Amino acid sequence: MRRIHVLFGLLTAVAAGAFCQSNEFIDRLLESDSMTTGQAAYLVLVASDNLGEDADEARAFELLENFGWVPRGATIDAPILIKDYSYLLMKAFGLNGGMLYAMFPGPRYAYRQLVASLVIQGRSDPDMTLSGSFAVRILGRVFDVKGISQ
Amino acid sequence: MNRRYLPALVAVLASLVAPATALDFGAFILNGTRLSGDGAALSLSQEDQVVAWISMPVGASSSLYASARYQFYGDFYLSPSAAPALVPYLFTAGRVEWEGFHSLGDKSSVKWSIGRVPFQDFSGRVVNGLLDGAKAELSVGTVQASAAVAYTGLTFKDDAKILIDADDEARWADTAAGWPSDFAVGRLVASLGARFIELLPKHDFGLEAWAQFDLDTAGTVITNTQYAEPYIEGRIGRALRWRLWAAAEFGQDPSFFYAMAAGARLRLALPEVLGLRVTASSAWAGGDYDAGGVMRAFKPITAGSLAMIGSAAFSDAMNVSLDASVSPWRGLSVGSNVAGVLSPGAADPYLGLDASARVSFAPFNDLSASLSGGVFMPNTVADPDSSLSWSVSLSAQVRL
Repeated sequence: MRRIHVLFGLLTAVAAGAFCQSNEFIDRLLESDSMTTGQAAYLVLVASDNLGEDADEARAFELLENFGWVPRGATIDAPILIKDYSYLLMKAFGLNGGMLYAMFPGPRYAYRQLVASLVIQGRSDPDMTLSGSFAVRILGRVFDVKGISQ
Repeated sequence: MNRRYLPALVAVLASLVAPATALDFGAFILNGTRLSGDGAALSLSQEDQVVAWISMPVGASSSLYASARYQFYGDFYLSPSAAPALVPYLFTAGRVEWEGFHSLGDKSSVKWSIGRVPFQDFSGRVVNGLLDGAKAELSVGTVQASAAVAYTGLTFKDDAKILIDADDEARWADTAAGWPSDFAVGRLVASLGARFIELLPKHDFGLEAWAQFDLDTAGTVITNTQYAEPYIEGRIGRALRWRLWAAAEFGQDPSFFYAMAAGARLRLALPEVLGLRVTASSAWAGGDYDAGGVMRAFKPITAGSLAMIGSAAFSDAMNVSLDASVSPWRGLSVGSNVAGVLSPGAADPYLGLDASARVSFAPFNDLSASLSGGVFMPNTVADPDSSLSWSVSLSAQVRL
């Protein structure tokens, strides 16, 4: 039930423009079948307070490059894979990973960690792309894990 | 060597899916060490496994999982001293499964699983293990219908644990290596089931029918058995859950015989009190109570035990157990179990007391370890040849 509240709160906040540059972003995100790296960067960096809500996707991607979190070979318009989105979430929210993630921090074990902690639910594989709505649901569960919703 | 058959199957499956880009893979490394004593005898068992797996989606509603296992196993007899029994390598398929789920519309769905997959009846006392076959479940509203079919002859006898008739006993005692000595006797296992969810408020009812057909025509006896297993499962309030089940076994070898089994469980779960779980349970497998009549000792398809430390097969025996566990902090679980083991049909029905404790710790999602130990105190009045047995086990698992 709490997850529903988190998602509702998140969407309400987005719709109200609380951490979104414009309603156009969330409209495009929720309609997107394959979230781009730029969209992921903006969504995660704003939600984790690493970026102001008045920034845009280009600025978010640039910040991602500065942090060294850009997936290998990715461009701002390229669809992001779920393992790369997982790594982005792990880094941006400072989530603790497993033993292998501590030894070899990267998308592979970031994805494993989020699957193990039920942040990623349902049928998935590390190399799949993800829709905007699926990405928002995952972000909501990260909020649960971090206790942000409490 | 015939043991290479199953890994070869896994290799073929792996090669089929290798070109796919959406492929996940990994491995488990497991270590198990067990020091045990029985009377004056003392022995050490060492088991190590490496399980490699691959997983990939197949379409939008199904996925393929395949695993292969390497295993080392050794028994070291410390007292009296004897040559160790070593199995330096053993390769076999682990879970190999194509599983899927498909929605059929309003409140209806079908899910399936094909390959070397887990088969288990409601109680886990009639069938419980990985077998080669297929199972499907159709859900329509609050009714679930299930069907399954499996073959036992490709499973190692140590894994299948099938001890139904004299042929199984002979195969179990066969020390030769290779085909067919290492494998279970070939049997076809089939089941049909129906579960009625919340037929009464907070209560599910169900009925499962299981059967095994002896395909070993070269054996000394052909034994077919069928099992009817009705059950009820429910909850009382938020914290209490209970279940009750019974199983009637019918068999032909070719003479007709029957047997009975039953069990009950009451579980209290209070997550807010250090994750406290207290489980009281009892399971009974009937014996040959009519001495020469058509009633015989209950024989499940896959053998199980009623004790954690002692050896008490689920046949002509009963246990009454109490189990408790708490989770003082994240990743740590501490528990203990006490069980009285009985043989209701015997002149002195009390067989002994089984007590054990366990600690498991999983600091990360990919690293876990557990330590357990216990003792079985037999009733030496009923069985003067029996002696106290104990064991301490340490296991660890890393997921790569």
